[in-house]
Amino acid sequence: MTTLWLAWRNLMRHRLRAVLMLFSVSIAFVLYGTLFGLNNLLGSGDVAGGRDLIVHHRANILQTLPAHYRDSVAQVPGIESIAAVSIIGGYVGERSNKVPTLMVDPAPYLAQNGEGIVLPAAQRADFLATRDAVIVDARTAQENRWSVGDRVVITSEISPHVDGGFDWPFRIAGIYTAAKPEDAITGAFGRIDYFNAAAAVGRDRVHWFAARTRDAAANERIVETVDARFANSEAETRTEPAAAMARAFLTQVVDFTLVIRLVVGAAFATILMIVGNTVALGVRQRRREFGVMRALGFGSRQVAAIVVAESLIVALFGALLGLTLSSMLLALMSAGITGTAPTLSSLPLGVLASGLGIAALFGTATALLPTYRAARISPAEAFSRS
Amino acid sequence: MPVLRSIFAVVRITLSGLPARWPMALSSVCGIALVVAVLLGFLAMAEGFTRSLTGAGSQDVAVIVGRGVRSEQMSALSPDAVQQIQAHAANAGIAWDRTSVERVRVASARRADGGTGTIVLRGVTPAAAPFRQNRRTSDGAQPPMPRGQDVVLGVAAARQLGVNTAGDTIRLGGQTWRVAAMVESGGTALESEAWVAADALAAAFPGELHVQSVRLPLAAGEVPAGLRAALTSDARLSVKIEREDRFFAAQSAGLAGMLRAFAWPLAIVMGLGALAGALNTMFTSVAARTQEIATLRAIGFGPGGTFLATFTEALVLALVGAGLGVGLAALLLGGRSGSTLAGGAAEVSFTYALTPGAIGAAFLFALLVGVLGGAWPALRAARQPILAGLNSDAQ
Repeated sequence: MTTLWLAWRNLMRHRLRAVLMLFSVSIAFVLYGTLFGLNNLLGSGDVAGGRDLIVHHRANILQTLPAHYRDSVAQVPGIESIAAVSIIGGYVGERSNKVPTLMVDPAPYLAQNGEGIVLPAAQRADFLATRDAVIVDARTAQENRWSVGDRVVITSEISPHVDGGFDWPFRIAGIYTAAKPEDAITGAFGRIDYFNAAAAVGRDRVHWFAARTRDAAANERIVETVDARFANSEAETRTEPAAAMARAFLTQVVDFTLVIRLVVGAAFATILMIVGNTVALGVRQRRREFGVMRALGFGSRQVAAIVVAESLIVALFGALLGLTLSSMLLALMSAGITGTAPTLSSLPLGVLASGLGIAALFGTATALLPTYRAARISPAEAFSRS
Repeated sequence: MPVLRSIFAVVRITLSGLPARWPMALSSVCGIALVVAVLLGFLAMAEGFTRSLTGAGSQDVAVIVGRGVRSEQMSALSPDAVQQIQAHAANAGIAWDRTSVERVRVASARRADGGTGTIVLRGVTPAAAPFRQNRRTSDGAQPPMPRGQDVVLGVAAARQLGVNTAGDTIRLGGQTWRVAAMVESGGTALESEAWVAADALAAAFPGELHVQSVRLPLAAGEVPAGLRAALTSDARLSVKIEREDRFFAAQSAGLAGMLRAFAWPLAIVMGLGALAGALNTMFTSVAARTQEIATLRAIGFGPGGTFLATFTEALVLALVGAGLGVGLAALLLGGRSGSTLAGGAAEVSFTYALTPGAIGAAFLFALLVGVLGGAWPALRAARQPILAGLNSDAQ
């Protein structure tokens, strides 16, 4: 207790200096929390994390796979259902009015997304029965003033129609909602057989297969079996948890994980130097004081403990402040992405825990050299001049 | 000007004491250097990517693709559409044999490092060559046009595939090709492409009759208004015509803008951390010079000189930090190349480009940190009471 109290009083003697240190430490942790939190938001690569897998081209997700892979994958033991998916992207009228549209195998896709796509039975049957049918989410339908039965045109950004243009005519078969707000899927779903009949290029090619397994524990074996089956073929596959999809998209452009490691590393290196130097300065300035303490009977370990405690206080307070701030930032960002109200649980527990671990390590590291110096101060320093 | 002289004297005295305060000064310098290096890293990537793509385009060439298409490989022009386009070109005085009809496919390829990459596979006729004047083989000769199952590889594509010599065979798009030559093109996106004969590529994708683009020569560096109007008003066509360099520039704008939009907020947040460090350093410097400042004031130097001396010290540290950061970025990024996906799912390699503009912006940013980090401590130094300073024991 005495150690902590002395450390605290020492810090408060140079209030401005302490506040500046605290500020720079919290900046480093804001960067750490926000960037790694975002990285987590993109989905984890944990294969056994759920029963949904995606099988896409090994090169990247915009490269296409032959549609006949579907039958091969379906035969792998442990696969419950498989649905082919092709992106046509898309907007309605203005380029800014996006209606992201996927062309899918209707029956298995609806079965896999029971929570995200809830349809009245009649509309569902209509979607399963007609080739140019499309289903849209309630919000998109409302924004475009669409109702069931309307004929609409979705303009693709990547897939030309056999007519020569990029306009894809559809008939709205259903308007879906989500069972719970967090399962909401925005956009439209058409049928892959329509795509195969009407696409000018890329017929019988798909962007990915959405597969559901019977048991997440078997996922690892299934992933290996599927990817081995197409090894050395013209289109090799990569099978990943569906949760890793957002990352797969982003990784095509830049290795996000590597970038944030470099940036956060640079930030910590900067702050380590600033705080380490400041603590060292504090020790240099208090040589005589520490000498007096030693003369009064404090052991060299007690003196060292005070220095360590000072930098730990700065590191832990700074970390808490920074992590709290980053959790607020993340809440705002994820609210911006999903369009829901911000929640305060946005900072993943893993990121929080390792953040505090880093803070403890960081505090000890900054104190290392100053502590060594402080511990070697002899009682005789009490009587030295300056 | 005795006032100026006395101010310079104080600045000189202060700066000559800097080496004695090196540990704190160094931490401030390194903080600023790292922020500058991170900022420059992102800007150099954005610039390198933009240069690679825009360098592949020419202002003497027009490219015609499907309307609303942002990258060539996403376009599809039917054989009828190509005929109509060529008819419109002929009306504008451009004979059909001066137009280059090109097929563009993105093919996946096993990379030399074991991963899987993507390469633009371009099916061309001899008409394609005049539109790319700056393609050369390594000994400066005009590269050959691919015939039969030949492929002419850009050097970046060759590097990606691990091809070192002409005569090797590679597999791309389900076919085996013989490497006829490797071409350089000033580090532009053309170096990431593989060129094959148009009919060989058509045979590789049977049943797909659509081509992706048509190129025309431009006489005056602008698309003739008549031709543009004829193409866009033809009800049978759904195409757009653009000057080639502008078309590629628009394609790079999205990713480059995203990188810059990420870089600046990041640099500002990191800069706040560096600012706290700079403030800390300068307050410490003022504290360490308490007696020095008081002595100078006591022998007649004014508060202006004391302010300027501390302020200059902060600026010097910021500039040294910026210089170090630029050096670090140049050392780490100089000549380094990366690759990323451009608009249409194919990898484009680029060389990180540190531009004078980016370096200037980084210096200004560092200077701002120096100004903000120096002003407050300098004010404190100028206002310090003389007597108390003389009596302090240099805490």
